[in-house]
Amino acid sequence: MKIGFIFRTDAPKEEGDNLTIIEGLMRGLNLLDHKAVASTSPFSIPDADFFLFSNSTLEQKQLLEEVSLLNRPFGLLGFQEDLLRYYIPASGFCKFVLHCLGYGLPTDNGLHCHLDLLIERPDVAYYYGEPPKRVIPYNHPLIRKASFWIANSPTEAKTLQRDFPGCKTAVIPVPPSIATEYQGTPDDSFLQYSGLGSKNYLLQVGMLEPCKNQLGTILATRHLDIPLVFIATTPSDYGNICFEAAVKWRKAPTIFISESIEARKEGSVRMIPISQGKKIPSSILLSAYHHAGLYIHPAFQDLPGTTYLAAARLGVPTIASSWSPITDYLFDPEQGHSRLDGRILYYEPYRLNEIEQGVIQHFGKEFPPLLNHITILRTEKQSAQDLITAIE
Amino acid sequence: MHIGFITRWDAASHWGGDLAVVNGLIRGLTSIGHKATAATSPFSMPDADMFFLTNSTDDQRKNLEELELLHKPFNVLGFHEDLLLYYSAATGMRNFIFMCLGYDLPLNNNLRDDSDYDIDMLFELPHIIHYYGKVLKRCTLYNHHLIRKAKLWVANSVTEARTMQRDCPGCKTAVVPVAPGMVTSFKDQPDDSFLKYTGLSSGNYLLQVGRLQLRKNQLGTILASKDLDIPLVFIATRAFSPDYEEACFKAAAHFRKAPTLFISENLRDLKMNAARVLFMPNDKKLPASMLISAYHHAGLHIHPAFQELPGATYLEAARLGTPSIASSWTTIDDYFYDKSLGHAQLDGRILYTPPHHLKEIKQAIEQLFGKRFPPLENHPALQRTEAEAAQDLIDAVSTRVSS
Repeated sequence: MKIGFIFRTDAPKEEGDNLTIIEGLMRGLNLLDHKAVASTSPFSIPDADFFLFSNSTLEQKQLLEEVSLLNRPFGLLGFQEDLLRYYIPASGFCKFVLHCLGYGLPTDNGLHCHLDLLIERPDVAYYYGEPPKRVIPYNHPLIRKASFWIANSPTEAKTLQRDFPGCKTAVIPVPPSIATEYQGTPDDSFLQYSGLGSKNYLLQVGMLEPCKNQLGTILATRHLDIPLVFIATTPSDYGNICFEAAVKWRKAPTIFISESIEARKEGSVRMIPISQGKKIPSSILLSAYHHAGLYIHPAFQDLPGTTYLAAARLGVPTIASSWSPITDYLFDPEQGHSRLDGRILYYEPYRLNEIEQGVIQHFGKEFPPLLNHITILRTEKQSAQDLITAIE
Repeated sequence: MHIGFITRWDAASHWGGDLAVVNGLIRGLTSIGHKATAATSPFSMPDADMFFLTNSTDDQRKNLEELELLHKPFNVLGFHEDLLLYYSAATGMRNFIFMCLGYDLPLNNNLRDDSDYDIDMLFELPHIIHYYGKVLKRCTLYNHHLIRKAKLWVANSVTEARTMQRDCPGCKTAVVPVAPGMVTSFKDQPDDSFLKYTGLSSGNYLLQVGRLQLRKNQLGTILASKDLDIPLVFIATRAFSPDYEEACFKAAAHFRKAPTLFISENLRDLKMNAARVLFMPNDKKLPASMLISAYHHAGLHIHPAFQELPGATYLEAARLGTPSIASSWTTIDDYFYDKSLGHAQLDGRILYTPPHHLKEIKQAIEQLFGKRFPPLENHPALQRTEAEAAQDLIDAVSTRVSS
């Protein structure tokens, strides 16, 4: 069978979990003797027997119209964000912080925006958020014709069923990608590169964007005398806000590392380019995880959040978001929680006081590498086989 | 003790459930030997020993500043709306229906918006309303730095107390359930004055009582019942939002086939298709006897509100034996919850649905319309008196003061 994956229009120049997962599925499908190709348009792969759309919470009208013209069956590989849950608080959190940074947003009826309000009343984020983008209603008339919907967690499947009542869903967990490739002991290339000491910094990995909530990380750790490192794939306006926030509020060093930024320094905050515009080598990334004193990722949304798996595999204690479906992957029915051996603590993404307490409690703890967990052992081939079974 | 209640600034002209509760408490306090007065400003009652500020989700900065200047202790008698739960959903429902009626609204997130707005989408995807909502009003934030100095927050349900604790972390709360007001004073057999006034027949209409107001969701009632051949009556005192009132009338005229009657203090004399407006007799609020008659003869009471604290209208319908469609987003289920039964449906006379699930509301109407139940006389929620509520209020304040 030839399966055509339709991914984001910006896929050729951007990175992201969703693209990593699609690439993994394609490798798995090839191992099973299926043909799998990916493109940003169905018209580029007119001989595909079946299409799988990704990113159903982006506007997909044009692509859906193309599939309609090609008269081919299609499914959805969702990455179906729970917009109703996260969009308002994530956008509101960012906007409130912008107010606190003194940006010239319209005066707010005499209210002086101050960070203390965000600490005392975390739900303040909801009062500044924008209504969710309307992609679901825009896509609906065409996307409802999909034959089935693939979620990568039961939580995502529930979101799909809420957003498209009656849709047929299958849950296919993702393999943990980078963490599975790793066999030996990580080197100290990251320490040499950054000048940091082992187990002496906080780490967050992922694109700088409101849903990943790097601002939350910066604010929750502003009083702590611990360096903070962001390894980020894409610079953005949000990245600039993060930079300013770190300059204004954090006392300890903050380092932004990316393959596509320009070097910059202000106070204790630095932006450092890496690998001359190419993807950051896995060995450096693994080294960064391995030597971190704590991995922190209080995301408003992540599907499912493979960075948590990488940290767990390497034995790094983690502050995770209770809004991420990674809890589905790590839930132990016998223990009744998803904390594994205590290496992962979960917090709501905007509760800064609680996150700060979690960091203080967890930073520098040692855990063994997680080797035999079912989630870590899952392969790309197994995921691909589950996909074929779901299609057939 | 002299207790001063600070009511809404428009209390004199705009009636509402909050004022009914405050008036009941004033009567109750007077009956147990306290002095209680109400005004729209603390400066009007400078000799009060203690104040209760009401409506904490309105902008109260001016009143709070006056209280600060008077140096008197104050409490909050909330009617504290759960804005996070309902505001975006309620405004979104209105906006979506406005678009279906042809109103222009701003684009969202710069996405191209060439959708044909179709009311059927609201039935198929009820949660669509969340994409059309407005940014929350920020009154609780504006009030925060002053209102946090309140000694005690009085909620009228456990659910409301939780909302207060979320919005003002660390505040002290007490739950004082409301007395059911109008229905307790009713003793006799209701008359047929409402039938004579409207020309409707007994057991043959749907009834919703309350101001035409976004959070009361009359638009939801109109749409959920649009295909049913049953007259619909709204009894509505003067409200704050002429746009919403007008939209309700237009929506009824546009979508409903069966007659829709607005008995209104506000709307002009209108008639369009099967929708018409009837002024309140003598241009005054409907007399209690006629309101009771309206409840008694209704085939079903419906009130799919996005927010009600707690929703006295449900108590009235239950007392009179009229089945109800209630909203699962209101706090009335705290009043009716029966631990041994594990639900708040009483003997099946109340069904709960989310306010925006129109299909479910329609099915519930079909299931309950015309059923008769005996008057509910012995339920604790209905036996509670104004004096008891007032005594609980005094006890809550005293406990707080002594602790």
